[in-house]
Amino acid sequence: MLWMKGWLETRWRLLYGLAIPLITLLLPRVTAGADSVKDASTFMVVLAFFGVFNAAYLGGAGIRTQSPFAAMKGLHGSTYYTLSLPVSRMRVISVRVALGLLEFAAVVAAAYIGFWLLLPAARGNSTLFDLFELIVTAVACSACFYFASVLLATFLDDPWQPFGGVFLAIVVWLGASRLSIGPRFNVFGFAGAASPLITHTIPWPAIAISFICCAVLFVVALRIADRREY
Amino acid sequence: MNDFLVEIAGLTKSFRGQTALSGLDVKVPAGSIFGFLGRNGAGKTTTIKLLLGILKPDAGRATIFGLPVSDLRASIEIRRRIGFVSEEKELYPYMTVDQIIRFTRPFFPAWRDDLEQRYLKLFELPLKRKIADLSKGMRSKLMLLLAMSHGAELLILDEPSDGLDPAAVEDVLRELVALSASEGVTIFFSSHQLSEVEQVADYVSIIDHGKAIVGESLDDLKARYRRLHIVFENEPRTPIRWAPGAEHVRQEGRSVSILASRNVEELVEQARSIPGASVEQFPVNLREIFLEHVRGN
Repeated sequence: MLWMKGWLETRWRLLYGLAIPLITLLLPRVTAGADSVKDASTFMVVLAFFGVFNAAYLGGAGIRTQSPFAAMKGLHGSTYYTLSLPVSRMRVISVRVALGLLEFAAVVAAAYIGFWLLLPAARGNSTLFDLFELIVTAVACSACFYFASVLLATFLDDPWQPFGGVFLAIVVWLGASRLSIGPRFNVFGFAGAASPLITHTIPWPAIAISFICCAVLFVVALRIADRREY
Repeated sequence: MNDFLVEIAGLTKSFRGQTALSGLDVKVPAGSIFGFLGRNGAGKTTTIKLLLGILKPDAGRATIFGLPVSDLRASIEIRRRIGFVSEEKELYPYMTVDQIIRFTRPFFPAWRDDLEQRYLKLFELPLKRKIADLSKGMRSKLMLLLAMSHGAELLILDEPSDGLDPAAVEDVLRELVALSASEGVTIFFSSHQLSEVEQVADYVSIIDHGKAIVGESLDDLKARYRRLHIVFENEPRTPIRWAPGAEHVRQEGRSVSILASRNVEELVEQARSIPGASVEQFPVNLREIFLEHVRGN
């Protein structure tokens, strides 16, 4: 039943997550006929940042009760109800994280499918399998920001958690640009030179780096949640 | 079987240097209705959070059903057998009454549909209404329904009557007594409403500054305490040194009021030995005993 709770808390967030990138894609295409390769490149970067934003926004609330619509100030009293249920904190968080991750994957997939369908220039000479690889890569590389948000949720209140997640992503993006990290090793590389639409391969090093970060962040989040006093 | 369902020994908890509990000792007899009393900030809610595993103690030990509350696995088993009403009376605002019941039910294998239906009817809870749209009193009732319907062996209730109107308070107290009597459910409840506690509790514990200062059966407590009203013929010129047991002495002119916690007969004899003094003794209520202890502490 924790799935039901998670779904009720996140369904509107999921809807926003689906609607905003699709509207962003649709409006310039319909109103200005944007379909150049340059437009497609810009959209790739924009979608990557939408992915990060959605990762931060859909990132688990941890143990806290989350509002489906808006940020909740402080710890909602119903958190004590959750904590009084005969389930471990690890299970509460794991279910919420799994559900959020599925929703996040759905949002990313929908955005890139929309991108693929709405912008012929984006398709270029790539195949449907390249699109699939792009979605897998985008989800896998952005997942580290999702888990950063999960970790932030264990000690930050709602309004600060998404801001924190986005801020962290900006720091990583700037850091990767400054350090001139190769696109195959950069978790943002899929939005540029390492995009499977261009390379026709998955940037495994970037995915591996992201997964290592995910694992570390999740373990730390679980430990904090287990030890935290409410 | 252990006679005590909840045993707390030397429980200590501080928050950033502020002591909330300092060596608390409490024993809750199985099957009893146990009133847990104290002023604001005395440590009642902290104790309840420790029992539920929401907080971790700095020192001391607490067990429920013989299981240590600090152990993660044991805590889950304990919570499966406990019904809880929190001080905040907050539930998930985005769920309806029906949804929160459907959400809660699977966590408790011993869920009682008959009790659920009974309390739904008694508390007149609208199934389709969102929790966010319920009044505090309605939310209290809903929390009580959820706590009382899952076949719990122990109910931990933090200010359960908060937000309820007097008629609802009577209903709730009656149901709690019935549940304790018919199902043998132990009820541990904290309250500021001393008249309610006095109405239903078998045992009470009064805590102050994180320590238990009283802990015994309510009947014994009330039998032990007496208020003595003594009227002298003339105002005593020097203060009288009363026998042990005179907890609180208030003198106004020729009359003296004494709250006695023990040695009542000795105190009466002492008063009568003073020429021209008349003595009357009265039973005292829980409120007087409570105030005496927390003010004196």
